[in-house]
Amino acid sequence: LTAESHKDKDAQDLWAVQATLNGNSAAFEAIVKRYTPLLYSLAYRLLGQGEEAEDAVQEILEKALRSLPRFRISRRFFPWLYTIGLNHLRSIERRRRRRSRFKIPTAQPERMLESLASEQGDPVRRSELQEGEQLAQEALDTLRVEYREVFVLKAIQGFSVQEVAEVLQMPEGTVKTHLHRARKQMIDFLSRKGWE
Amino acid sequence: MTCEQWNEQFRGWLDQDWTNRTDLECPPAVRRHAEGCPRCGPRLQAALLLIQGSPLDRQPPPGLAEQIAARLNTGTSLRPKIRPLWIGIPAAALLFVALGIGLLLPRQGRGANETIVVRFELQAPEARDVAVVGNWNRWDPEAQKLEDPDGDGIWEIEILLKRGEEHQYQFLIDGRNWIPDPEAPLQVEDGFGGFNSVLQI
Repeated sequence: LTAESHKDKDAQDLWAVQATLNGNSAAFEAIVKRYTPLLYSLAYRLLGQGEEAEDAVQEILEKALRSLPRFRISRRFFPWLYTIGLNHLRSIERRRRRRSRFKIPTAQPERMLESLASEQGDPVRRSELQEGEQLAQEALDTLRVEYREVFVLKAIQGFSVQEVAEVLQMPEGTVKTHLHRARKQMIDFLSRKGWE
Repeated sequence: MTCEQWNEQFRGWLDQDWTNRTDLECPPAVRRHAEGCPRCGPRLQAALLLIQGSPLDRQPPPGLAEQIAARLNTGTSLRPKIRPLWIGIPAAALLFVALGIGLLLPRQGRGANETIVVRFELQAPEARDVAVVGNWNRWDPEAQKLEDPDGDGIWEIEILLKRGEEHQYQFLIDGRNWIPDPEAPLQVEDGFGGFNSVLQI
């Protein structure tokens, strides 16, 4: 994204926030439509589940709507919303870990694989792509949460290092270090997979 | 090329620094072997997806944004949550603007010792400390503290409770203000001039 398009989006966001706070309920709809794809992709890759990601997006947007009166209009809206989103997803992850002893399933491969592969006509190729995507998700799941967040924001969602640093409130150097470690750990995972 | 040899070459290829290299080319020999190998093919595919990154950017199902926008307007959830069976009278007036929710989560075991994870939420934006205090924790104010990790004013905790029993509880805010759960319709007198909320599961 160019600086100009960022500026436009920020201005549109602020207009929508102000209008929502002034009682225009349709204004928040614009925010929902703009950010649902980004939040869904974030939730999907951090949680690894489609249905759970759908619920999480709604919960994040609900929280944002409730917290809107506390949003400082001098700030950018997008990092603020993403911070709420990441905090919510971390909270889901913590709950999951607490419940893991009850063997609640945390992955639904059949849903996970309704993916880019579905567009491929060749069944063998499709199957390979699906397995590849599942393995990529498994590699992501092995990462520490901090590394996974940085990788998803930077490599998958295409944010700049500066934007990732702003959203995650960490120095740009730390973003780069996390990114490097995330990649290294995923390589280790993929080259060990099936050879232990 | 055997799969073992392939793995060595695959590892060697990936060991280079591919930060900011979404176009990293796969050596032809590695690609050729992987194309016909069910064991190695998916691993190469996963590596390529992770290197490129953007193909893993998942789009939401069609209409999700519209559904969410409509539901935010009406205050309903995407999927109905399972709630415990509440019976009885409305909650008393509160010191805090509060919203308490007991939410049943998946269960453990069967029969007399069956337990259920119950999630409690309380909206108390002004609170600094919130605990759920009940007969299952012997009314210990320190035993089960709620958390508000994202600072949105909604405090939450999940607790494992026995099924088939009646559980009485209150929320304790900042160590001094006792309130019944505003969403629990059944309350009983607590013997100190207040009310306990009652949860029957």
